[in-house]
Amino acid sequence: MGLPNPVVNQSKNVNIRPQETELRYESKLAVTWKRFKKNKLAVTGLIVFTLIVLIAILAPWISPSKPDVYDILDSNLKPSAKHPFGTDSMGGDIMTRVFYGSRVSLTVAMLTMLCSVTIGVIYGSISGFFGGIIDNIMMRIVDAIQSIPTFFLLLIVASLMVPTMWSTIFVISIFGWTGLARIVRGEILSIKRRDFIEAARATGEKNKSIIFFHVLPNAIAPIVVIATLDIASVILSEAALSFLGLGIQPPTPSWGNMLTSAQDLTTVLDYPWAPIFPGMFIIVTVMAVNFIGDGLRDALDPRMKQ
Amino acid sequence: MVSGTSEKIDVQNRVIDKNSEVLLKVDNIKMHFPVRGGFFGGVQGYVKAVDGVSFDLRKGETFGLVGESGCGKSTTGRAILRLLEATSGSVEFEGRDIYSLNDQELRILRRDMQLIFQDPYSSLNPRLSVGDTLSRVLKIHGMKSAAEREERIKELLELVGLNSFHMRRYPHEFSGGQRQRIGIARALALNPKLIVLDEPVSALDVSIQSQVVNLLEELQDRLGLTYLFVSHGLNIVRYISNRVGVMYLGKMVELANSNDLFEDPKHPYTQALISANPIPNPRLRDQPKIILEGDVPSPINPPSGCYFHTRCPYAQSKCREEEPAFVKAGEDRFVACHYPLS
Amino acid sequence: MVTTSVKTDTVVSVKDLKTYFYTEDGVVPVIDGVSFDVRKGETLAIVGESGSGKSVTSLSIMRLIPTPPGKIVNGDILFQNESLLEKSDKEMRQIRGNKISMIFQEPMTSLNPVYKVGDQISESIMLHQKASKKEATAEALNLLNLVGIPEPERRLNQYPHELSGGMRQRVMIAMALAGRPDLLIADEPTTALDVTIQNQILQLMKDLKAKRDMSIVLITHDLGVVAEMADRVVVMYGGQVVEQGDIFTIFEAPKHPYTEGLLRSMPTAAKKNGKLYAIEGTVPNPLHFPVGCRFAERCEYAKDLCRQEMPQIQNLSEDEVVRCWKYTDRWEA
Repeated sequence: MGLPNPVVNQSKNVNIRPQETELRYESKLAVTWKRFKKNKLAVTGLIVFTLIVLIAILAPWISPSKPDVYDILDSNLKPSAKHPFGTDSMGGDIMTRVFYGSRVSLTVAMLTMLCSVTIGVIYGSISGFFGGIIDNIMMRIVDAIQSIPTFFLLLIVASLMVPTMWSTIFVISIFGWTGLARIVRGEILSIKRRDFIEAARATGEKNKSIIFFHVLPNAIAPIVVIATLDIASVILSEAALSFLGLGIQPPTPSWGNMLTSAQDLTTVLDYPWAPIFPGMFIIVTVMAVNFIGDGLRDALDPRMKQ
Repeated sequence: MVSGTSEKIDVQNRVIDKNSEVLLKVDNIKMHFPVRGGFFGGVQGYVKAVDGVSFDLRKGETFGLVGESGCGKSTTGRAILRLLEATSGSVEFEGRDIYSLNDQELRILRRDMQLIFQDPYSSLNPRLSVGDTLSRVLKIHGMKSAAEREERIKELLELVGLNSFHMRRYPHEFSGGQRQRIGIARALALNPKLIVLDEPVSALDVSIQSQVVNLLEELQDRLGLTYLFVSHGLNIVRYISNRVGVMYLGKMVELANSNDLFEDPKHPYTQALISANPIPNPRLRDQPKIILEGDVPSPINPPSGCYFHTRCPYAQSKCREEEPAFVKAGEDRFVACHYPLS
Repeated sequence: MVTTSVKTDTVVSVKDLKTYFYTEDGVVPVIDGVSFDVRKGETLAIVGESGSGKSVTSLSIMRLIPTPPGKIVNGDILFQNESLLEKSDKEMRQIRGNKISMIFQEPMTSLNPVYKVGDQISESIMLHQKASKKEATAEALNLLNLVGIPEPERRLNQYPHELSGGMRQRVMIAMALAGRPDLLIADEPTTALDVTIQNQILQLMKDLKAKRDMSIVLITHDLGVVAEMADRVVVMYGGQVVEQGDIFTIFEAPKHPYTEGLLRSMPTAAKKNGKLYAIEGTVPNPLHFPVGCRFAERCEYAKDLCRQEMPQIQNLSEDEVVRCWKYTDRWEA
């Protein structure tokens, strides 16, 4: 690591820094942003993710076609000026479907993340804050859920429901909160031991206010990090479910179900653009989100890095 | 100390008239924490953190509570505020048993009894500005108007030697000494009568300690506060306290006026503690010292008889068998020893 | 009888040492031109508050500064007339533990929790001496005896968490002595311990110093411990030495206003009436040290001169060094 060249022979009477008696004010947010900016991968991730979100929002205006327009005569066309990502076997424009698909995939990811974060934070807070027998029982339930391979559970529950976007969100959220609950609990257990919690109690704060004003704000860093990384894993779960036909149903496009329709060998070999573009969007989005998550972790909580 | 204090306080000798009104009476409190273990987490024993401690606090005095780590002094401080629920015994504050209060009544009583912590870093919520921290306290206790709260916060900050512009700042922008002042302001926000100070200067730099000690004394005089000063630092306890209680393994072994205790200890443990305390005078360093052998025994299995007999240089057979009572040993002093020093 | 040993053989000589830390917020001159000698057989106390640079000074001698962010940028450290800064990492490892040992404030974090105490001590013996496992264990037993641990045979087979704090500090001392060091650096060795245990450890260090003819560098903020232990004292403030002298001069005729303030603010019985003396203000932020004397802002004698120009370190007598304008010609002018 390159160090700035140390200034050894400073003249003793030259003041190189302004003298300040009070410490400089720098908000926590500003410090976090400063650290985040130093991580090139994270910044790249943020730019890429912002672009994808923009694509999703602007899909109706920037797409070359409409997602429900099929022209069977134009099926399996190579990428061209008219169809930059080519067309699929039904003659749909792949770029259009990928763009619209990002709306679905990102909506599912965000909503699912919000659901599982809400459940996880509430569950983890209660468990950690009250401790004792409550904590014991609640954590054993988490253990039980975590001991079953989640994806099989997803498959079972998903197959019992009529697949829609909402069912997909529901299915992924009800199993997605356990990791976060565990982390929130651990965080709360350690915050609970800090003196300011006892101080709050000594000044007569009620438990509910202690959790909201004193405990949770201090657990925000790991929650934000996990929530971010959660987006990535939800995108993957959604893609997998949809790929297996248990998630978002065609004709609504999602990255996952676009892969389904392009899964046969002929398509993969002869018309590779059909799986490549949705697949690329999945990979790029997941990587971007993971980079952001890593960057946030380092920026929010330098301890976790060391 | 500044003049103009209550007449009952003899400033020069720091003696509180023993007929002075009792603010808080602690009667035989015990604090036993279960030790769990094994597969089913069953109770395998008890840590007797506090094992029968009695004393009272007189209005306007500073009562020092000294002892080594694990002697139960901090736990005692928490138990009298009912931040920890004592296993048995009673604590009366102005004649009311605080253990008989319900949650609502206890919350109101909290205005009168406050706590100041050792570690100025962990005692402030890093996510709340100083103003918010103080504002919450005032809000809980019914100060609805924001303008009124702001006025009070400014007043509090100035009272502890900070500036009103500090209210917008966050804890990480302050030094340890300044943070301790904020902790003091929080404790003062509700105009308490009693403050438990748990090692309030131990975590501070030497040059900052005396600033905080002066502030505490000044506030006591101005606001008529009563202090329970919990510390392991003998010099500071001697300096600040009117009376001092010495604890060992969950029991109080000696209680006396500060001067009497330090000049003429009756309990061998007090004597050893004072002797072990390094004096900042190199000419005295080769004076003979009482060096206690061994370590403090475990509070799960305390020794028989007098808890101190395993380390006591004067221990006799009676000490091993019979627990000494905490009895009067002169004017306004008590000791728990079969053979008190004369 | 009160004694101080005044010997002239120098074990360690620190010369104009500067250790800077390169942080996100800028360059922090944690040690900024520190010089002192440690003589054979003496106990030298380095006194200072947090941020004074006293611990980094000792880590610099051990060459244990984490790099980055820290770096020794100037000066030299001579140990038995050889520069430690020119030693290779391998040579330094030989010196550490063998010739210079260090003990820390918190013995629990310096002992490995998963190994038995005996194994850890014999390990450090075998690291420094050619000894068989059996000889090392025997020596470990000797060392435990030397540091006054009761039932040493039993302790050999115990894990660190089974020992009390005082006992762990004794084990740390035993390990530090394994290589028969010429210099023992003790960084706040008793701060985490109770008074009665502190007393035991200080007594032990005194005895061992005499038995092993070591020099001790004692880093502490506690003037009581200094008065108890030291032959000479180095007072640090803001990364610099502000005063240096023998124990009696420092305690009875301190020259620097900071030393004087520290002593006056001790809450000892003699000053019971009225207010406790307090040095006002706070320790300056090392990122924004003032141009002049670093103590000027808190000094009751400070003049414009003090705020404008940094005073230089000067010898008042052979054994007394101070960094203060009061002792220069320019003070009266």
